[in-house]
Formats: sequence, structure tokens, C-alpha cells
Amino acid sequence: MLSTAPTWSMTLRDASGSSAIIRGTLLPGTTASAGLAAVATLAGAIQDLSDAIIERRSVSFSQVAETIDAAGPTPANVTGVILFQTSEEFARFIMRIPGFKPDKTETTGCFAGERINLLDDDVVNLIDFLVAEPWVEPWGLSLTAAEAGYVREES
Amino acid sequence: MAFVNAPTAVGTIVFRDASGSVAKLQIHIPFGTLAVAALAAMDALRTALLALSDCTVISTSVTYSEVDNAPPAANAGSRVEEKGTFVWRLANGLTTSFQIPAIKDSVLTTSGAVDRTNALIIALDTAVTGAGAIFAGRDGSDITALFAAYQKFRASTPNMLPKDR
Repeated sequence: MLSTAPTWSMTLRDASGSSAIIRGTLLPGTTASAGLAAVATLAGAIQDLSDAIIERRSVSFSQVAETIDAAGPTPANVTGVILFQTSEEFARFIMRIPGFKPDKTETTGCFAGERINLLDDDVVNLIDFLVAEPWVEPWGLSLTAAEAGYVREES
Repeated sequence: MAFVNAPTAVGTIVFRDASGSVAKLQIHIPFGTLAVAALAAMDALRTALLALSDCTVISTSVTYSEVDNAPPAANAGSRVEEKGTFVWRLANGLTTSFQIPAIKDSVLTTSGAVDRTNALIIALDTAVTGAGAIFAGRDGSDITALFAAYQKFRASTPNMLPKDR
């Protein structure tokens, strides 16, 4: 994977409720904190020039594949859905894996081919990886265990 | 009005299948995670996911966002279709640009050019090109000077049309 230059963006909203995004690029090697600080300064200057209101600003760091490997036969809309428990009793996190391999599902029982085999070595490897640091759900709760997994076709 | 960190940084992995269709997976990382560490973790996650997916991965990214938790109302009559286009010269001789939506008429000349003597425009120029500024073109080349600036309008999308028309 090849790193690209970090990018910044700001979302503005006008009096009619319509929104627009400004995007730009930062120097390579910029850290997240330095990038956010620079964007905050720029946002101050831009807000003075716009009648719309800045509602959100962000910094992104990306990597792209230098060569694109050939894909297998499963379409991207065949999704493996894994439900994770979190550090809070009633909060859950759902992970969706596109192009889920059919040989990672259970082969016996009434949900054969639909339920993910949570004992498959590669599935166990992923689950163990996700319940370790640093992964969290959208509000910052740690992932603790996989509760269920199934395959569905997204429309 | 105050900008606050989103609860987490968002990691995105873009997959592509054999037909060329694209799908994305999102995962979350504590906001304080350094970008270098976050990207390394995303790369390791990519490897674990590729064992379960027939798709190939074309990119990974991590985004850190701040949101205004009490945004004020926009100025009456503001429309994002009215843009201030700012074209910047890069150190490698090429240019890059961005557009400021709902540009204020007070920073424009009668011809529709941006008034570069306006103090607010000078402040923007300083923020982008001044000492210590870290803004660049898409290829990573440093932005060195303001090259051109003018008013420009874009067509309204159906969602931008007045809701009470």
C-alpha cells in the first residue's frame, strides 16, 4: 500500500439548508493533530469569507494499493455481517464484509450457507484481531466478543 | 458554538469485486490514535479481511473529524451555489484550487473578481501560504502563492432548490 498526501475537508451549510464541501491537501508527513490545527486556522479565515456556516472539518490519511490483485468470484454485494458485543452491556457493533467467501459459512444445520462459521480459523483470526486494541464502535466502546454472523445479499 | 472531536476516528476500506463494483467497510478507532499507528492497524486489518473476502482492496483511509456542536444560523440569503474560486500556484509550477461556497459579496469587485486588497482575503492568503502553513496540491507540492480568485456559480441540484417553491 502506498501512502498519499493527507487531505482536509470542510462542510458548509447555507440559509436554505443546502450543503457544500471544500476539499484540499496537506503536506506529506503531516500528523493528525497538526493537520486539524491547520484546518482550524484555515476555517477561521474561510468563515470570514462565507455567508454559509462551517459545520464540520476533517483530516484524512489514505493508502492506495500499488497493484490491484484479481478478485475472486463472489460479488461485492454478498456481505458477511458479524455482530459484536461491546464493553457496554446493551451496545452492539455490526461489521459488514463485502464479497464474503461462501466456504466460510456453516455447512450443516438449517442455516447452512447463511450463518458464518464462527469457528473457522480465518474468522477466529479476524475476531481476535478486532477485540484487541485499538478497534472500537462509533462511540468509542471496545469490542469484546463476536455474538453472531450471517451472510446477506445487499441491494 | 464550539468544534468538538467526533467520538472516534473512522477507518474505511474500499473493496472491489471481479465485475468492478465497489463496496466499503467502516470501522472505528479511538480519536487519539496517531495516524501512523492507525494506518498500520488498518493495513493489518486488511490482511485479516482478505482471508474472508473474494474482493480485492484498493484503498484504506482514516478520517479524524471535528463537528460544531451548536452551529449558528447561516446568513440570510446565502446560497452554496455562489462560489469563490481560489487558484493557487504550487512549488512545482502547477496549480491547485478550492471553492468557498456562499462567498460574501463584500470581498468581490464589481467585475466578479475577488478583491485581493481586502483584509479578509489577505488573511486567507496568509493562512494558506504563510510561514508554517502546511497546505499542498494533490501531488504533495507546497502551495506558494495565490494565482487567481473569482466568483463563479454552479447549477443547483434538485435538493438545493427551495423546499417551499
